[in-house]
Amino acid sequence: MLKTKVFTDGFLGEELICFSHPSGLEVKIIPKKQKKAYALFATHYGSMDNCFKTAEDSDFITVPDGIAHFLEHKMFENEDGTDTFAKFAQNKASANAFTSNEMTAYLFSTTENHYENLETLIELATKPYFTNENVNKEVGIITQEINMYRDDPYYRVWFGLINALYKKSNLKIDIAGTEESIKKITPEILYRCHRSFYNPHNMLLCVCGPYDAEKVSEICDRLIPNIPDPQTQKRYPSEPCGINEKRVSVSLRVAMPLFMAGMKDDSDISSLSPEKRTYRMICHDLISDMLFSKSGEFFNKLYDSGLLNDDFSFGYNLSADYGFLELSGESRDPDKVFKACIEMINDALSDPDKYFNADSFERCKRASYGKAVQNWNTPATICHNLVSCTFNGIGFWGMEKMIANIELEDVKALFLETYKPEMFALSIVEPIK
Amino acid sequence: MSNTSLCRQKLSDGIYFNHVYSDVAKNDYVSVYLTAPLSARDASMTALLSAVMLRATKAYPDTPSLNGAFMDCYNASVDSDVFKCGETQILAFCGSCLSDRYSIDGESILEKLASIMSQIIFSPLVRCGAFKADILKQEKQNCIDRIHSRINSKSAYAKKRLIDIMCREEAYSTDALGDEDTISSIGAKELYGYYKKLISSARVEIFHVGSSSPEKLKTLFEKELSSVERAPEAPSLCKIIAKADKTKTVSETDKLTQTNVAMGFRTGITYSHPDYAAFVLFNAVFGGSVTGKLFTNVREKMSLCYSIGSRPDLSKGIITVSCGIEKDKLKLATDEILNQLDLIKQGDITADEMEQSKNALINSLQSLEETPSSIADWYIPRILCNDSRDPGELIKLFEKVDKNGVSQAAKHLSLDTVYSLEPEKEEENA
Repeated sequence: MLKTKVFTDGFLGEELICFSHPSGLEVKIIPKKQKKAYALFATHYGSMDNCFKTAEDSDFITVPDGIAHFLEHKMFENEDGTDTFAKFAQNKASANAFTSNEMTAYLFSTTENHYENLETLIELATKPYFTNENVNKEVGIITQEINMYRDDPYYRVWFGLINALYKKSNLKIDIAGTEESIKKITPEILYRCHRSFYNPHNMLLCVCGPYDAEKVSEICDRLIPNIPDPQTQKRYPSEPCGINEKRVSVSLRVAMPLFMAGMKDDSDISSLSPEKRTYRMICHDLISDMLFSKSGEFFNKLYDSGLLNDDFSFGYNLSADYGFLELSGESRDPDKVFKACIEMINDALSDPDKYFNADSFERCKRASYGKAVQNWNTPATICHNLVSCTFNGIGFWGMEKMIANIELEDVKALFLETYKPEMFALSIVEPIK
Repeated sequence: MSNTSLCRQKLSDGIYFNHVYSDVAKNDYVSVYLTAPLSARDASMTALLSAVMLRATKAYPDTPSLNGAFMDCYNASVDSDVFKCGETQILAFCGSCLSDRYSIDGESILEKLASIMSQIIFSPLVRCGAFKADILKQEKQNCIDRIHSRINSKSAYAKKRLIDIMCREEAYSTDALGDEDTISSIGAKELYGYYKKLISSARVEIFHVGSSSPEKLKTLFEKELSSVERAPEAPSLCKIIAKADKTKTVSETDKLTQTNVAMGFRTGITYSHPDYAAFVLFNAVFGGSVTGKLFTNVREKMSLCYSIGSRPDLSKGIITVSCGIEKDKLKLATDEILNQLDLIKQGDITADEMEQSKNALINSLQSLEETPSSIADWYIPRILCNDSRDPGELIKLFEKVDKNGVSQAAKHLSLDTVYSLEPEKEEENA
């Protein structure tokens, strides 16, 4: 008899079923009556994880940058020469994959053959096949991907901010690697990474659609390899306090300057419980809404003076052990925008009640509730949010209810604790002269 | 219950209300489309209007109050857009809000969104018969910046330059964002005059997709439109060129790492063409999916690119192929793209390729119901081109297409223009 934990929310009309498969795999199912289904099979292994050892290894190994992403590309090729995309297409599903700083995920969406496609997804991630020939072939493709991002100003301005905020963190490693680093990748290293990280104890399966937990478990019984936990340890460089550089810029072919300003949060959040981390994340979202929203004074003053346009956006990124604020947009004078931002932060630090008052708080909470409900909008958004939150130690279930219980004093206190002008940095992409 | 079947109602001459019930997502989507012929000066007027109208209204006389209203409405949003459908320009206002069933205090969120959208569309802020001078000045600059910022996305810029060159003698090459000189010259009174003309003469398509009751939304828009003196203009016909006379090749350089190439083909195939279904399936076989010939050959077998695809415009009867490659691989890549097209014309299509492409096409149609905005986006060009078939009807047509049909459809393609945006030569060191 399958032992599951079931969560239901009658108001949202959602149900979440969780179980731990004997192989070590965590499974989350969001059952839906509709035919449209989405599934994500992810490993907690991303571009940051370049130094690791298993229990069998005598020492840590450092692998070339971009290997998690390279691995993701190769997983679609099979020993019999077939391509897994074709198998999904045969079963009327559309498949894809992605690699981020912390994870690699394989996914499909479909309206038919739900269990057949789930089997294909599991086999995709658990049956690696790497040869010198297929590795060399991929170098050409990924080189073009790297070149594409090299010309992409939106990617470059973001990467510039990460390098400005962080001194040693592996966030600074380009997800795709470099032209030089990917040439060092061999089948042997790929197999080693796969063995170390593509282990059920390190993975999560999330399915949303007309799925039955017993049937999903039965498929896992058949297809998830029953292998011991390699007890993989990851090693990261210790990130010193403070930022790396106040201002970085690069020249590219753009019409006007793009900017991304950010603030590094050096608080130790690694030991927070998921509930406390979720509360903190919601508070940070409310802080940034109350300071930077398009209904507020900061945005409108700069818009009216021609320093910002409608492309302005902001957000707080929180993971298991790092956090940073980002503000981005286009501006003829990003330095002036940055100066205005710092002035506002200093003003708010000296008079927080001016910015964190009851009216603004209620408005932002209402908007925040709307955003939280829309996290449950589609099978795709549900699966992506659930997997990302799980790997980052954030509680996705019940977030919209938690918003109702957030206190203004907690929001103000978090702002005073974490917002420091000296922790702000600016990344600019300037037009080539 | 969820589906993508359209319920369409004519409210009055040139005004239509379209509704699709869907409770799959947690939001409702409302979009209003105003159509106008695509002409040089009017394109700039429409683009400027799309920005100015979103700034302030009678009830929300400044941007902070308008944006505040969205936040109060559980983070609702309204965006504006200008785009082309054939040689018609569309001014669109697209709103999204939580469905009523998620309202905490029981009030109708959709009604609130409809009220805000009604303000934006029918009651923009005007003083003495003109838009406010300061708003006009700001939005002129923003519109001009938006035109220049196209270069930021190299792939999109290459496709735009392809159309500039390929359709130079046709209204289709008119930029939906307008042009800098015209935008700069527009006066506040003149723009308001154009607004009044547009509201009076445009075809108006109103879309609602969601689970909340649309009755009050429909009543509100009907009431607003009934107070407008309407004189709808006949829709403009799009010039369709079935075959290219000769192939043009244009190359430009810029400070880049990668070469972006865009190839434009004339097809003559529109929504009403007898070969429509076969042609859509041809596109899936050719370059419309990751199992298509372009992805599996140009990318996977030859490792020439990361991103490659084909995309038809069925309102104009053309298809474009685009990819990002190394500069010295340009001829190799374009030759292979043409080779794959020739193979399809000769009937060199495997049963697997047919089946997988059909499945990919059918899956994408069956997936439309997932997001309300994608349902509206799917229907609007078809409605404007007088194609009222729903996804279910099209799936039945696609299922009947065979290899011969795809091969025959491919023969409609003739290469018109090849455009490449290439890295500048590096200067030699002295």
